[in-house]
Amino acid sequence: MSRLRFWLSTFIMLNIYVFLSFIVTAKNGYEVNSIHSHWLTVAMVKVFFTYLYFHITRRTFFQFALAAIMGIAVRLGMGGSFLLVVLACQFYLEFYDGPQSLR
Amino acid sequence: MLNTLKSQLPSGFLRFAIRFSIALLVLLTVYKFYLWFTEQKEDLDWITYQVSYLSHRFALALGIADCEFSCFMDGCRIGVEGKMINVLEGCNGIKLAFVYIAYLIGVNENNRSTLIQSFIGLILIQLFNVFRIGMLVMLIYHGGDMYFFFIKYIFGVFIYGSIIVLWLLKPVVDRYLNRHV
Repeated sequence: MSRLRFWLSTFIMLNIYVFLSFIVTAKNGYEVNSIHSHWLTVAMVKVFFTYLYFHITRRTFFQFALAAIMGIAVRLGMGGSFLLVVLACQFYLEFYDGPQSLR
Repeated sequence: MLNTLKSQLPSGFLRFAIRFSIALLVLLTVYKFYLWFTEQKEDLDWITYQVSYLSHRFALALGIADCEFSCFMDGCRIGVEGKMINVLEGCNGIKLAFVYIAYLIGVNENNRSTLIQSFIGLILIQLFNVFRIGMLVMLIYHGGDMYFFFIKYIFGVFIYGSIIVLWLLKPVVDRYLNRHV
């Protein structure tokens, strides 16, 4: 059941995240990223979805906070992908941390 | 010295987070330096050029006979006249591949296995990316209104999904490499 919960929430998170990018660009055009208020709103919505994702998959707040900070640092500092960093943390927690570890 | 440092690292998720972050930081910093170096030479970076070139070849293989290809300092243009797409540095997928490699280093069970998987994964992610750009060239060529939906949504899910599949295959590949290499 917990694995099903993980996969379902990962699928929904991935789709919501990408769909959000699609909708924002479709509505406002590619220039939206230069408007700071828009950018910040979208970023906060994405962090909120990340919180929900970690909450639904029963992670701790510390795990969410660490993943979000890493994602934000990679996004702002190096232009990397926030979602992929969050997914990397989730996949580690699901498959390598805990009783069901694949090690 | 290295062993002492390793023993000081906390276990579990925090250990993963530290290893992952350091690996990603190193990879992205090296890449930034490489980009800076090519910029100084007023040249396009090799990875973007190769991804664009292979995408162009793929588009030709898909049947777009009059597909053109031209490169500038900031990226390449692929497609037929009036329906071209820009492949910029951010489209080359290398940063996604770096996150994939940083995950392998973060989990790190076997250095040799990590090295082999990083190399194979890097190539596979680039091939997924070439497939994605080639398909986009074909979509814009056929003039469908779905082009924008594909570029922002379907191919986004596709490239993230391909990395997830590679992460899922990691234990299988580890077992195979430990047995045969």
